[in-house]
Amino acid sequence: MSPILTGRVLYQCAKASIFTISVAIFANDNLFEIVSISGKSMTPALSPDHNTSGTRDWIVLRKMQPTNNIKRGDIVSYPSPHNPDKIAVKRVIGLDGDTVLLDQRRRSAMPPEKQRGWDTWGGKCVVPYGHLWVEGDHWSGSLDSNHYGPIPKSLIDGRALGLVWPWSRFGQTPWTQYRSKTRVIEGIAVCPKEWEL
Amino acid sequence: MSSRLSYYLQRSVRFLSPAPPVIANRYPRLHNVLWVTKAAGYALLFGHLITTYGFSYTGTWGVSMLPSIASSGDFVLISKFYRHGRGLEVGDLVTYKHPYHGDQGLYGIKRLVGLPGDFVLRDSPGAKEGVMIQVPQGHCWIVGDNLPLSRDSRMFGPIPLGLIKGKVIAKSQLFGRDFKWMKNPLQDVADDMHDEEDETI
Repeated sequence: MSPILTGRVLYQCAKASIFTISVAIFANDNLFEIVSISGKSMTPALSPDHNTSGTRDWIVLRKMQPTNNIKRGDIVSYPSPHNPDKIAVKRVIGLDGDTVLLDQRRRSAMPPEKQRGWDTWGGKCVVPYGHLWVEGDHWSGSLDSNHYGPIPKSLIDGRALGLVWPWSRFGQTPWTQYRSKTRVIEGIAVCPKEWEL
Repeated sequence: MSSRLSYYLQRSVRFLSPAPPVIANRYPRLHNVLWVTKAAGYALLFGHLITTYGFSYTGTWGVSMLPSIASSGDFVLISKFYRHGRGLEVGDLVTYKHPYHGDQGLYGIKRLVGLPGDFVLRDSPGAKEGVMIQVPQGHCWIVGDNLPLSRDSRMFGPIPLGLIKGKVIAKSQLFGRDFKWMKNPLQDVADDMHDEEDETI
């Protein structure tokens, strides 16, 4: 192979790979991202067999305006408030303005120091403006708003659209059949006066 | 020109020259449309990559950082290598997605006062009983420089590091006039008191 040809091939390969990687990052950040669900926190709906066989479900997330028209029961992804480099996938339980009646059973799965923090809620939480109350479906083994409180809507970077793997369940949204046992009194979101722009 | 130089010149020209312009010759208007579309696509693509993972340069407004950044007309250079709080130190100026209005596209600049595990003053200095609280895991405490006219962690509490998008490394007027690097103003605890004691003894 002549040196000219080698140089051109290298140049074209570098160009193509840089372009491909850029497009992939752009699409992951702004359009759609495919993530796998590990752990048992979303167990009845997503990755039900992860504890026994280690199989994971892969879901596609919408990254464009994820909090637009958000509803109770939607599945959202966000960088974990405890570890910002880890992505958490949880279910929206309460919108801003709602009163969430905390599930007593979830307290028993917590370590004692977390239980003391949980008790300061006094059994219920009025979700502040611009925030969401998120929980995993499984009552134990889920690090969610019961641990770190309501999370800002601006933290949320994706909303689940559907399953992509396993292939037999492609396109399904198994989380819509499950109803969370945490009770919510619906309210109206009112921006506090001191936060008006 | 020596023959060797011309050989390398020809080689580099051949190496850099594009394919024969078939579309440009046959359909010049289509060629123009394609060129504009391609340029816009590249601008969107690399603009996103640079402003999310590299640097961004934007105007600011608001009185909350007044001695450091003017209420209007100041432009800041933001390094996104510090996103998610990576490598930040207490005293840095950080940009964050607003916890209340961030989904409407509002970003803020405040000074980083506490990192996870640090103890910080909950209210303004001298305002209330002076309660110190510990910043939780994965969170940070941010306060504006203009204490009376700043809405910050004293009101909304610690915010997750996931909301931190970058660090302000320089400020300037429009088009880079009066360009100034931002320095971390935090100083080590002075040892002056001990020196004075030594002198008196």
